[in-house]
Amino acid sequence: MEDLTSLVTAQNDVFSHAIDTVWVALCAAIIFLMEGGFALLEAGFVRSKNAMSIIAKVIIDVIFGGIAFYIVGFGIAYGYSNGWFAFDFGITDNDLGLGLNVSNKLFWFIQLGFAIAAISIVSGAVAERMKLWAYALFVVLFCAVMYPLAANWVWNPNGWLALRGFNDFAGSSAVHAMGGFSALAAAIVLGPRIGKYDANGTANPIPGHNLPLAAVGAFILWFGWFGFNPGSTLGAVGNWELIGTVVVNTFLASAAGGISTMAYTYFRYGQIDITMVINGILAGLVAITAGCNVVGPNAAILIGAIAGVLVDVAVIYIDKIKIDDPVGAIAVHGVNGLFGTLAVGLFAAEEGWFMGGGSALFTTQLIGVLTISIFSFVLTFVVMTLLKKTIGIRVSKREETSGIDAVSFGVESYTTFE
Amino acid sequence: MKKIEAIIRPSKLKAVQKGLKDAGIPCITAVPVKGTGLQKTFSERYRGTEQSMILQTRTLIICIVSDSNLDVCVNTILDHASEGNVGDGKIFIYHVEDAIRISTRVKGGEAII
Repeated sequence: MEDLTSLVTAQNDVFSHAIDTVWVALCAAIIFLMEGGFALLEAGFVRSKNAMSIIAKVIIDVIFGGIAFYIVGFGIAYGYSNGWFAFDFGITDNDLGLGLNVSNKLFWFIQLGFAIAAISIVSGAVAERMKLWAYALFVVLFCAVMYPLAANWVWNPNGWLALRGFNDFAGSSAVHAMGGFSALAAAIVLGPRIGKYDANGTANPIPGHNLPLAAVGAFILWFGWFGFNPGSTLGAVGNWELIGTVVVNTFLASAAGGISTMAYTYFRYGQIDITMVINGILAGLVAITAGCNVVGPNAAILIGAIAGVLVDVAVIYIDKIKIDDPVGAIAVHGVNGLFGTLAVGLFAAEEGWFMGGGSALFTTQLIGVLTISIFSFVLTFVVMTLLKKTIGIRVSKREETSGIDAVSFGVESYTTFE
Repeated sequence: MKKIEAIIRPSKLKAVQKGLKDAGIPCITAVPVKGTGLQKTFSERYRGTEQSMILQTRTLIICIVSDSNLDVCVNTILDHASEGNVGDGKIFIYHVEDAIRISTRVKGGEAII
């Protein structure tokens, strides 16, 4: 009888490992596809003469960022942490202290998706004007050191924010605010594209060349989010209720974000602005990413709806203060990463301030997201300025006016008569 | 009545359009075109193989103006489309027989600015 019990326990253990592995591998692959979404979204939102150059940037995010995250990034994020940083090479076999039911290698792969998603946010903001090799160097730094430090604070079991009870389920702070504020600093140091602002300071729209392409990109990102958020459970066994909560909240927030942007643009301009609705849906997704495990469905709708308006206001404001962000990366990921993290402190079902849980969680959320945002902004500003002073970060005027694709790569996206 | 065809760099279109509008010539037609002038042959590499005889991307703008507006129009284009380099493009001027506005069937000078 005892033999039978231990046999069943052993079998259950095998099955639970297998099920969790399948779940995490599936989500990791879905997250990986988000890079295709970033590539299409950004390509659609830039001019045709630079479409291949932005796809090259997203490819660099994956290949340079991926290797950098393998060599030291993962060790800095998930090695044995003193609260602020850790150091290790490659993928350790040691227990990471996260209670993982999957292999460390598979955990590395799903974390890789988060790291390259964070840097891909930056690629959009520097579109159409940043030198490729300077960008590649920045990608390596970002994925080897900068992002892993934020991940260490938030998700390492010994990270100082993790220990304070900071709730950032899938990375509104660690991924989106991190990428968004890095994008803000990069766009400031880089300066606007030629022709974006007149001498007297009026902003000119520079329309994207293929909006359906951008929309397909947004749909792929949307799909990817259903790996990003539920995959952050890092296991399916015992998590079925949580996974359900997460997917429902993720969807509700995105839909509410789209609706509120639709309404906002309609009442403000008399027309629905579909390109902004795309950003509104993504803003809802970014904002719910931190709290999708702890808020109720009504709160998810409210968070998404607020995010959808925030993104509109932020896009206009960022344009006005002469920061050129071709794809709206700062408004979508920076502003809503910040808002989404704070929203957890307000709307979390038990600990939220508005839900009668007191201000403790909100304070923690505020400290966490501000630290990460400022850290990301300042470090990117310094690195970009150093790169600017040394190797240069901006393409030549000829490349910018004739198109980076033709001048630097010798190709054009839409080229032949045949 | 004259027809002006100007082949210009695509990056100059906005400036030329604005210049013409400010000069009182708001009506233009623009077409993306490919072609080559006297500049040395431009080549691209496609998947490792050199492609010769590549045509450059340019924008063709067409304006129909009254004879009195001709100089203004040409000068505006010259002022705004030039980088001072080979590859800036060319301007061609043709005589136009007549013009008809489709909505009102008005003919001649009244059909254009």
